[in-house]
Amino acid sequence: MAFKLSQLRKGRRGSQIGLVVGAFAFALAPAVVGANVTTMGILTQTIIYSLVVVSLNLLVGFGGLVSIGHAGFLAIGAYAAGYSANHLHLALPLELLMAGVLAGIVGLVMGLPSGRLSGNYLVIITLGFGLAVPQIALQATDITNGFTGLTIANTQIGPILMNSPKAMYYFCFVVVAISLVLILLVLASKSGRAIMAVRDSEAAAAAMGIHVARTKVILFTFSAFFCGIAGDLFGHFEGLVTAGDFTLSLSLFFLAAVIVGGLGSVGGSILGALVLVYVQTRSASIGVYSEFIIGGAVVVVLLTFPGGIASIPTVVARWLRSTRGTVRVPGEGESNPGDALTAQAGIGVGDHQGASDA
Amino acid sequence: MTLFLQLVVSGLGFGAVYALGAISLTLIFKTSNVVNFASASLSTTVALLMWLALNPLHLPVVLAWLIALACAMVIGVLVEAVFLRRVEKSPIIIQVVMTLGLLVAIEGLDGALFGYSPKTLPHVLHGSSFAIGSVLLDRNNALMLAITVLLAIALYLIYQHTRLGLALRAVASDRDTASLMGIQTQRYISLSWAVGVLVAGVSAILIAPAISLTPTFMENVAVFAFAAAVLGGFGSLLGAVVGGLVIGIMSNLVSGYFSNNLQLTFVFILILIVLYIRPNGLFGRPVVSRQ
Amino acid sequence: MLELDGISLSFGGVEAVDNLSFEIPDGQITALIGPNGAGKTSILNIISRFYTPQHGTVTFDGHDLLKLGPSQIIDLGIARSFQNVALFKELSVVDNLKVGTDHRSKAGLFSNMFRLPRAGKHEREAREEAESVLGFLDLESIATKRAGDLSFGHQKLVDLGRALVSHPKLLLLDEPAAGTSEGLKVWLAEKIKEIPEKFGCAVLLIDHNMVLVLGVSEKVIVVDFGSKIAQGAPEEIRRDPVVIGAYLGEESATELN
Repeated sequence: MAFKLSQLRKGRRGSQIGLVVGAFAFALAPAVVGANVTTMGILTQTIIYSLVVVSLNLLVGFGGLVSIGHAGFLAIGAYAAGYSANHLHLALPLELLMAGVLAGIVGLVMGLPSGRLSGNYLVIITLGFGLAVPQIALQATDITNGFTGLTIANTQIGPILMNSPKAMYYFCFVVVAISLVLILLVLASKSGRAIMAVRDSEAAAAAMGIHVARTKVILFTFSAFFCGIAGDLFGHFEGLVTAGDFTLSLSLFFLAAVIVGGLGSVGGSILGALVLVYVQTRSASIGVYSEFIIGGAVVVVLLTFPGGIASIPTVVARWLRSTRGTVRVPGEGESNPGDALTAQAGIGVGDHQGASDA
Repeated sequence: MTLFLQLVVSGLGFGAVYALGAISLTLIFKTSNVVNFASASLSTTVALLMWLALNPLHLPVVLAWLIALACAMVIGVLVEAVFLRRVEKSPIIIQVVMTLGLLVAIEGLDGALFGYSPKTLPHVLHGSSFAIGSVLLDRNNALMLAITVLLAIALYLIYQHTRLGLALRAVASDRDTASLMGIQTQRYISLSWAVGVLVAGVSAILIAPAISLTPTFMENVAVFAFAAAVLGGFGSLLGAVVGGLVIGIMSNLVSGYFSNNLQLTFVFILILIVLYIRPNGLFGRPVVSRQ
Repeated sequence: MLELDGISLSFGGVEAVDNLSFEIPDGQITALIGPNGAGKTSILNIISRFYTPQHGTVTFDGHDLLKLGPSQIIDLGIARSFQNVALFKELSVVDNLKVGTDHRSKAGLFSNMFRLPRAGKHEREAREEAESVLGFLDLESIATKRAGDLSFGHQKLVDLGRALVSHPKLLLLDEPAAGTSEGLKVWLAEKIKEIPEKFGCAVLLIDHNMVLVLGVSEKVIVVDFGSKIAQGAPEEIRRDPVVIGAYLGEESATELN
């Protein structure tokens, strides 16, 4: 039987089409829903949050590591944007790079111990980080302007000043789209396979030549880098950032968006960001229940369909297949997207477990 | 020197509360292998129930305590049975995220039900501080310390010298083997959640009079408790107590000599350094595994 | 090519391997057999560097293996399979195999992010080699399936393929046929026999299945209680009274003869 290249791509085609359609939807959105200030604001925020949620999903869904401090990286990027716009006047690409690199360096320092530790410890480190960043921001008044908050000048590309909501939207759209393409390229490469291999089996990954601890540290840095870039956009979008913008709740909401959108799915994360922004903008009418709804959504998703929104097509397809009367082989084809993230290796117990095969 | 001693002594009071938080985390982690990141919202709920019993309902203090603690145990059992048990076979990351989801959901529920305006719980003891030499000791701080030490000793004795403790240790060291030996592991996991949330609830009720009671008021306290548990290696009760006291004293020194607003930063850097140098905490022993 | 000399390994006082020495010759299939708990998998885990023995040396092509970590030995040409299959179960079959080729690529995160020529070249080569090994193992039809969805037998094959695709000089197989059907066992024995010539590597095979072991190997090493009790050609082992007594037992010896 001949092996066809098309077979290789088959599994991914659905999600690729989804991403392209999504990109067009976002590109055309201003023309469709109207470019008034409110809708442009919501759309811009969705786009920026998409990059944050994808960067967090890199860590959680693809790497199996949890962070509840990503608002801290967002803050670093936002303050970098402010410092550049108000003092350094860097060209925009350089400014974005600086925001990403600064966040990445902090991520590297935090990730260093995580290479050798269980996931629980990383959560605690990131919790401490997430709470420390606003405190530090209040102290470092030279950069952050303390309680008053930092006003960030409009950014400029060549002669074009980003002073209209529409210009801001397309600027963010381009930066996020490029970032997502780079992320997808990494995920489809050797580096992406290494990240996921470490998540699925540390022992087998090591045996295949992957340095497990180093991979985790690189992943953490990589995730922080893109979150820093999103922070830069966030800074320009908000125009005024204060330490109080970067709360633990915000980090937890990002994590919620990852789960609700779908662990290990880039498209899912964009949907998760959309849902998050929707709930946040509706909080006027949902009122006090918005936090309960976000937390509750995480719990419900984990208990019922741990693959999140992204897994719904698969779940539905499977359900349709089963109602059409296909015989299902026990133990085959039934995969729980939630057990995505096992890191159990079958070594070390060999001589005992082999008993039944003797 | 007096300032130093004063900071150390007053740090012990808060340290005791952090120690209680760390004990709660350690108790639950030992038997169920889950770090309870929802701890802050659960203990807040207990403190809010205490407030409910005291203020709108005007119940006597003793009765309010009993109700709050009984509720704490029920909450612990329910959270484990309804949520955590259903993901116990899932990868650890799913369990972690589950407790984080519960943190947000329960905090949100508290906010929706009780509102976000600060509430007050009364101090347990009244009267002025008493002096030991040149150092003043607040009565309530002394009480917190005493409760923590007594509770830790009681838990230690139960763990080491009773059949119950033996069973708990068996479940902690190897759940499968324990269950093969006829121990009903589920019952002991429920029990550790009940006691864990109880201890966390006590810590919230004790610290609430000193800081205002809001749905999020335990978040920052929880970080100190996590730091204490990390310092203690997430395994030993003694480590949790010492870790809590050390964190309490050191963060008080930081706020006394530097700034009140850098405590969390200090704790973050401390966690990072400790985990970098001693990945198993100051008191934890490296886990020997046949990997 | 691989030489173990005076290896002793104990876990908290329990001797798993006791003063063991043996050699694996180039280009042949060597089998390591022994009763359950004899220390076979421990030996494999020493060679693949998950365990470090308290005493002894392990050399491979002149390199001191004990100085290296588990992720470094694949570059010397040592690859392994896992008894309880440790596949990357969220990845597709073909991606599992590609991971086996990835240690050869020098492309770092940066090259991969921008698809620099060296990254693109590696991706093409990885795919070609993965396809050719999938062809060898008759797995083309399931190439795009999620590894975690496969039957146990298929998972064992993918596990083998992932090690094979790494261009090993020495392939360590930990019970490749355990838990698979009789039909697959016979087929697999034929495939393993082809490996040294087709892939130019030596094989160290651990298995309980005597038919497989004695049928495919050129040299057999028998261990019990962590020590070597016999070694030789399969026919010699089959008749060796020590082996029959210690390992095979009267009943199975009769069956085999």
